[in-house]
Amino acid sequence: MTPLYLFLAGGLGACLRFVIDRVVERRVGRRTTSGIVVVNLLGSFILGLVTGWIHASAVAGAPYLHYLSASTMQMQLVLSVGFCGGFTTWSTAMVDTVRLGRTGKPGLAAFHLLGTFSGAVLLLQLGYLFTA
Amino acid sequence: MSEAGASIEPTDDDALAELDEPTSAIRLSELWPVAVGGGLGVLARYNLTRFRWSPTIFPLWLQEQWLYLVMNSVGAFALGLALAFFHTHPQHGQRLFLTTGFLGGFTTYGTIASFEQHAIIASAPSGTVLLSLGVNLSIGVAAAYAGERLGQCVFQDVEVQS
Repeated sequence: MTPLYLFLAGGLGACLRFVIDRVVERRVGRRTTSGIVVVNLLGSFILGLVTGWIHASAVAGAPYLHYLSASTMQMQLVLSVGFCGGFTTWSTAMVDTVRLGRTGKPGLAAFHLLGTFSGAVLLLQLGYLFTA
Repeated sequence: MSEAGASIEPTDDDALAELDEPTSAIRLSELWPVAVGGGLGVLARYNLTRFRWSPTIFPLWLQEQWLYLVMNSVGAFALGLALAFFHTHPQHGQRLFLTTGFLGGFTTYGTIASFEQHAIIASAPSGTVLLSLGVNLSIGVAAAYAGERLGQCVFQDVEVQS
């Protein structure tokens, strides 16, 4: 059943990404890279929350064999690999960076690339600290 | 690149903005290609990441990082290529399925950020963190650029000739 859950969670993540991107574009009123930035930052924060939960439960379960039930591990896999993986996207972030650079905004492209990435690492750490 | 191809370039983003219909409301017919494509992309990534070499010849942590690097770069390259293709072949549903859905679900941002975060937590030497960050970001951008340029050369010249 795990592949089915991964498929559903990934599809849900991709749909949410599409919706957030479109809502941000409608609000800004033109095509923008901000929607995907919001998605990647939010997705990294959620992945941090899930990773913290996985680590905390692994540490708590370490003294006991079979402490973590199979369904808990499946839920963790579906949330991290399925939902967060389908929600966040690397390819669009890279293509957006190239487009910003080619439309004569190399400084904005560099800020877009490095700013989003460092923000994602920071938010991931923040989410991790909440649940770990 | 031919002259016709070069003349397309400045208006590239305007044309894409039209194609994307950014200010139109979301239709249900747009959601299901994204959902199915995204689910398939996640499944493809999950099955590829389960592939493992023997840890004695290739350390496990390196295998993981390397696999994600390759998959994300291939995804970025393919997205550049696909966007150039759909620039001249405006099939909205298929575009959403392949780009927003499949390639969006196949590549992942959070996992790369979490590799860096784990390295920082494990207090890895800052040199290795910076190196892996630089490799990931530069190869990703280079792959997207290569895909888009190749796609513009191939697909937009095909369109001019026909």
